[in-house]
Amino acid sequence: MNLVPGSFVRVTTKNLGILEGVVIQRPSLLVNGFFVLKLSSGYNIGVSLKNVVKCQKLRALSQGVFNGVFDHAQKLQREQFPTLQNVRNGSLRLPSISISPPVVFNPSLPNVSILSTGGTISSRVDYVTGGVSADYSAEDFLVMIPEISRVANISAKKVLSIMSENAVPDDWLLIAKKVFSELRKDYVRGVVVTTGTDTLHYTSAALSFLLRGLSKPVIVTGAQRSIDRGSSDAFLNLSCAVNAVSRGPPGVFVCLHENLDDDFCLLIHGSRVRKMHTSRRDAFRPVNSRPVARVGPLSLTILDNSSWIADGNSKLSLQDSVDSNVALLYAYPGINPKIVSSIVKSGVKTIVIGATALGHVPVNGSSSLVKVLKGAVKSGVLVVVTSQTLYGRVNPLVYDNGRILALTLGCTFLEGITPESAYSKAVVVGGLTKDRGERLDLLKKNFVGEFSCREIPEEFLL
Amino acid sequence: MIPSIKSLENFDPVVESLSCGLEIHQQLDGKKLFCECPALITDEPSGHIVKRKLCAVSGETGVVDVTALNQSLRGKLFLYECPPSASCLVDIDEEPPHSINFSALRTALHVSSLLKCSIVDEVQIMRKIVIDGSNTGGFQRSALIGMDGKIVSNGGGVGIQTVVLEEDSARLVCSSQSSVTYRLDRLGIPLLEIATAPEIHSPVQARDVAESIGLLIRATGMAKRGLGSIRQDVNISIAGGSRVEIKGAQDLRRISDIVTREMLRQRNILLLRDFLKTVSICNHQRVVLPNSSSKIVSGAFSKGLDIFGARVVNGGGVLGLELQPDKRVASELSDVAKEEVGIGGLIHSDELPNYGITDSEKKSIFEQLNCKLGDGFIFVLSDEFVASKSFDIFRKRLLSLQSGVPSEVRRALPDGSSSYLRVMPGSARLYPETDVLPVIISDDVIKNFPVVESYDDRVKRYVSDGLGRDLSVKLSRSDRCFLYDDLRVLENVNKPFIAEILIAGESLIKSELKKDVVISDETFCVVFRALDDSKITKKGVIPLLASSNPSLELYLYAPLSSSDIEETVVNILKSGEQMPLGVIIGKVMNVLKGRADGKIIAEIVQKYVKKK
Repeated sequence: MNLVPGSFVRVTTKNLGILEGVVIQRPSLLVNGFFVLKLSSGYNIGVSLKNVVKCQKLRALSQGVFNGVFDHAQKLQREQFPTLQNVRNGSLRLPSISISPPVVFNPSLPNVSILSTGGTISSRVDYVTGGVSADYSAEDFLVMIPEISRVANISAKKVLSIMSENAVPDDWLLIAKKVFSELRKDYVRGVVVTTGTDTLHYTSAALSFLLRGLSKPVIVTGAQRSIDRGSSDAFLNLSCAVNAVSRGPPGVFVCLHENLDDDFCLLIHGSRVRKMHTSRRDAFRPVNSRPVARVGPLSLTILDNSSWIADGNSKLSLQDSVDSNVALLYAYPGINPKIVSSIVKSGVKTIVIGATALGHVPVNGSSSLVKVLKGAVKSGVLVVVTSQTLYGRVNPLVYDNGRILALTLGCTFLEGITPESAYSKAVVVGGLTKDRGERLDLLKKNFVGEFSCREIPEEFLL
Repeated sequence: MIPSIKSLENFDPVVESLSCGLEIHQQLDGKKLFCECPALITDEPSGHIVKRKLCAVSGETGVVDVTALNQSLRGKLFLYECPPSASCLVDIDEEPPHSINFSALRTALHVSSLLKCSIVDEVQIMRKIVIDGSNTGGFQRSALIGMDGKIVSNGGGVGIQTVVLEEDSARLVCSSQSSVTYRLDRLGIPLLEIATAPEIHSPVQARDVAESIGLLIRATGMAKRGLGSIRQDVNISIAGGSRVEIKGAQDLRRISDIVTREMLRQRNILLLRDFLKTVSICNHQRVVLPNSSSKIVSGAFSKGLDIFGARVVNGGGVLGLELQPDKRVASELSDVAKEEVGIGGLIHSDELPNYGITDSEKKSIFEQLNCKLGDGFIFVLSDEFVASKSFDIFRKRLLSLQSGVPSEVRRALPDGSSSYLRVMPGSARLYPETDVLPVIISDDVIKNFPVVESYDDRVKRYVSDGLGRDLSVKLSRSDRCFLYDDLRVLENVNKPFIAEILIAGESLIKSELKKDVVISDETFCVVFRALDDSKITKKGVIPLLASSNPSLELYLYAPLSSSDIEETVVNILKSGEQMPLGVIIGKVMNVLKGRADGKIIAEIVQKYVKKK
């Protein structure tokens, strides 16, 4: 049958009479036996192939799906109103009332580089999977959020186009390299990295550790709602991120919604942040710290600038290797020690445990991890302990359990760092040296303020 | 010469060739369409208030929608009240939608089948771009369910183009130039949209079709009831005119007025079209009115606003012409600017002297603007920026009136006239909702709908309940017919009495107790059940229905025992005065205020009078 996506067809059906419309790509993950037709009303309907009597292809569509298909009104509309494509290639300028004049270099404004890596903030509908996929580039952001050209001169690059749940440590390294090369340009005030939010806090932590001697802001942002909807949080997140670069302090920070309002974002230390909600736009919260600043599209108020500690390097440098042989292990009641031993056998160099409470794992009975962890440490694996409570610091000395881990088994307790940040740190440290002792020292060392030795009451559930 | 135009008095809609179609929007009861919140309109304290901004984005085709773009220009702040019992994270676009509400989908399929529509094989849920802020996501979820049906009413058959199941939008609370406040209780309530073909040819037929469709949906028992649960949009054009969509008619009785008045407006625009081609609006300039005693003028000055006016060449006498009641040629200009740039309105020469602006001030403006004989003028009170935008809009609007009736969306006003709302939406408004799976409609689902009672059958049944023809018709058309069906099983309450009270309860309370109330279904149930159980007398029904807490006040209207009645009788007879039997009974009844049956009172009085 002539049901090629994009073609304009007339279909005679047993139950719906004669239908005319454009065949739309049906998401391949759905059941077979149907095709999707876009009617002239704009509605899509699914038509069962069983009910199709005749199908006639009226026209193939070469230039995009809809050109020249529907009524005159739609054609007129297309002529009068711009597409992203012809805005971008300069063939059409948006009306000046809605979009500020084409970007002109303004020597009095700071220069900000935006690096896009994919994720929801770059996502649009994908007709192959029926889901959303990362497709917008940084240039598109400029077209959509013209206000940012008021606070900075923007240069934008697409570095990657992945969903962050598929990111691997090598991707962090690639991003860090691109950030580094931007930061090395004297005229660049700082860099915005847009990325998927699933693992945004792993990425921001990794960047915190990979880039040394930072004297400029590196702001990581993303979005919880895709940018192809009018209510996307991307618009505010991105304009605040650009503003944070243009007037914020040096360091790696995350910049997303402060609350459900489209007013302000929070700057949060890149290695002390965590995604705490599956879908809310204010999902990113500081853990064991306070937000660094409240940022609006044009304003920035410092709230607590004590968490970021400069690493002492006077010159900007980049660590150019990582070691992803790190496992992140969640402790839970009834854990099977065999699972842990298979992790050990997989050849990991470091195991980060998200232990219970103060830093405990089962040490008695059938779930006891004593034997397997002892073996791991003996074979040279670093075992470090963080807490799955996320808030608060681990402490090995309060209960026997912790003492066994720390004193008998040789596990290392990592203060108040989040398990995710510890994981990113272990990956980075592994790239720096293979030596177990050195790696241990580096993991305990406070690079940029990823943990603090004193916690104050205000730092809980912010 | 300005051509003469029509008014309601001398306008005959019958001679016009009318094309009219309806869009009926009916809320469904139960849960919201894509979350577990109840479909509940509530006045509870709002809880969280969320502040949002919306951005115009490109849809499926990469085309920025015309309506969408237009509305985004206004850069408004949207505030959303989140009543905790009727809204959740899904409603504030903080959580993806849940699966579609299958009960609502089933009702949509049922209605489609009652309207003899073809039903789609697989329902695809779409996002319809709406960025006036009435949907937190910037779009409304909407799905086409049925096509090509038919409704038969008094004026004959009219085609049904589509049956669509969609989310209702958020409820407007208030709006200002810079922000709009919505309440999220209404957002996401399942809404059935039924669109007829433009085959309606008279204002009366429009009303009949709307009513028939309303009754048909309601017959499923799944329709939500109460004010605002059904809304009608009307598409109207006359020969030579253009398609104009009038939104938000809530009252069925207004539909024929809306159609008539829009026909009148279109006819009048066509009558004036050629003359309007001779009219033009000159460049605007600041107008000086020193020491004006007009409150409008001094009020504007105190806010730092100015007067900006422009000569309207050949506009004298035209600006004030009434196109439909209370809507003049000048309103055609000002209504657009009200919506697009939020000005309060414009003042034109034909309506002066007025608003405290004197005849000599009128002359002064006339001269300042260099008007000549036959000219008119218009002015606005605003800042320079808004004035300049407004005059651009006035000129653009005049230009489009010069070529006829502008095709647009208008808002129904309470009196049946309408005002400009927005340009006609383009058709690139829909793109797929990717967060929910499409739903395959199996044959089993379509075959096994419950049997519904038609309007005619319902009337017949009520007549056989002894309600009488008139009452049966009234009740069948009323939202309370389902409540009657629940209450008619009460054994000790007379059915016509129930029906009468259900229909006229509020007006009886108004006339007897001078109180305006809306009686809830629950109150009706409490009161009629109490009556059925002899816990109250019939006389207690009206005051209890008017009570805000009837269950607590039942005792006030409890029937009195014989000894209570005897006590009263004795008290009245104590006076020793000689009275006819009827007077004594009347006095007793007056004291007891209906808490005892007249028959019993008469018996007791007789007994005591005899004793004496």
